[in-house]
Amino acid sequence: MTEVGFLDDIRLGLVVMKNEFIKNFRGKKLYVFAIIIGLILGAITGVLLFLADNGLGDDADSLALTYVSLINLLIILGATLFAASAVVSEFEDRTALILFTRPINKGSIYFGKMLAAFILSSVFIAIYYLVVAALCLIGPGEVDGDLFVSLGYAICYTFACTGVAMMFSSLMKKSSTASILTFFALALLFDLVIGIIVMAAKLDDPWYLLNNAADAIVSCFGSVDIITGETVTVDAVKSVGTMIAWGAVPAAAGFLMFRRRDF
Amino acid sequence: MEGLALTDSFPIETVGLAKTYGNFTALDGLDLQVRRNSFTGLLGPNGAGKSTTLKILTHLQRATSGNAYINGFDVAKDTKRALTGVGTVVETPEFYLYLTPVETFSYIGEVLGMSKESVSAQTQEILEKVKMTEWADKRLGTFSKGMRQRISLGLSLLNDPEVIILDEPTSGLDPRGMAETREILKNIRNDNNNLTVLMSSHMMYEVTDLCDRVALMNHGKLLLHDDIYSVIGNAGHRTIVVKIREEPTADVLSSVEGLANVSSAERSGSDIRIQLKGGMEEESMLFRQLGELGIGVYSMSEGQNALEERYLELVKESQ
Repeated sequence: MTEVGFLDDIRLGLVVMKNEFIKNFRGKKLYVFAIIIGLILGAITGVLLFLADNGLGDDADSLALTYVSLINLLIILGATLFAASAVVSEFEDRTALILFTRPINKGSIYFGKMLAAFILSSVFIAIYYLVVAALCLIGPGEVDGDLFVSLGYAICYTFACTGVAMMFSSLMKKSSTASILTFFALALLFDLVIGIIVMAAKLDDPWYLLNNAADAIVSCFGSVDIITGETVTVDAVKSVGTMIAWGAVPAAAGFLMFRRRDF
Repeated sequence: MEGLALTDSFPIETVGLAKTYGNFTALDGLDLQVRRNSFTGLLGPNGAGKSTTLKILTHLQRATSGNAYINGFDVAKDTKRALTGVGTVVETPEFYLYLTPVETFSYIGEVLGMSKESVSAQTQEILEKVKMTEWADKRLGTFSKGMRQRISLGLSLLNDPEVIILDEPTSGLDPRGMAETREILKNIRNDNNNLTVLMSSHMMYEVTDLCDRVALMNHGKLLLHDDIYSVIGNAGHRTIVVKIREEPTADVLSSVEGLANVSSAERSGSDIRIQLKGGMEEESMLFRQLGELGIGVYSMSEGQNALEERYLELVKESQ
């Protein structure tokens, strides 16, 4: 007799997650992402070592901020590579005929795929931060605690981007369309929308928008607002809550679309 | 449990099953009961609703209304219970190309909740059955369509299913692939007494060869569902047209009629039209026996089979 219930659904989700890991380890995307991360770390380090007056410098906070300023782009790239094709590929590659016809709920499939994409992206982001921490130790000789706070925000942003990517993956018919849409929505469209909303509604602080909440990744280093000249303070609860909501709501919408999607 | 009263007799059942795509009605209140331990062929022209029925039964599509039950469980509402103990081959599925057959069986075995030991033992046995043992550890990306279909059939046997649902399992395969797939299906049927199979197909010969019951659909409705012999009214005979070197004499026709599995032989121009009972093996035996009688055979081909004639009649009536 088949096990039913929440615990078995979780077990099945983890089985699907394991297969997603195998897919990525045997595919090219994971290595492409690793190479891009390596190139960015190498390029920044090269510029600092060869062009800056004092190499890696003696300010750990400032050095970390230099590296972290590019993390949003990497997180978006991670979601695009690992999550945007997760659902749609089952339909496009016709592997749904193998998996969906077995005794498994679509909830477990969706959960497993999203978890795998989130974990993979998070691991790469964490490695990036660890390398930055190592460089801070090599250069300035210390690691500022803000770096780890920033990592926490980055993981929340990874969750948000993964949720958005899963939604597009459930909606689109082709992996390529889902990937392009995910990347441009997160990298450009949302910013564009923010700009329009802020201008049209004359909003002072649209904190509920994803990219504004994600500013916490950099702002937590105590950066200065270029317009007001004041040090930016981060409302951790608001930022984390907004990013989690931005991950959860599109992910839930994506699941509803996936559940209703016919083969 | 959401069991139906007739579950024991009919492990596959649809009740008022309907599916529409915009203005097109693919299924129009289909009521179908598939008898336990039968091998039922689901026939119908393109667009009759065969694939839609099987896709709803295998949870690949949702019905617009009505219900599909497997072993008494509603596929849409109680998917996991309904699909437990069910093997499926829908069209020619693609596999996860980065996996080997053994890894694929292991993945699906985990989904089915099987132990590692059980999956491992079953995998070896099934790969032998589908003649894929030497490919067990090669990535599926390198396999031909026919090989993938054999793996797919094997995968459908992994959990010793009581119900197997096959949607045009030989579609898109070359003649060799078709023959291999049919051979495996025959073995599955012969090896297992406690198995209910529902298979859609376009090939009358295939259905005559494999199935003991036939369900005929058109315009999303069931036209007929009965024992295959009752449907074709001629105990499963096929018409074989034999081209021979010389005009057949009355003696030759009489000798041919006396051969095993032959129920009649008549002249048709310079050919002999033979009503043969059985499938490929019987056809091969006929070829041998004709040689033994000293009849020089140029060629043997299949005439229109009885099921095909009946099928065309019923489809025409339903238009």
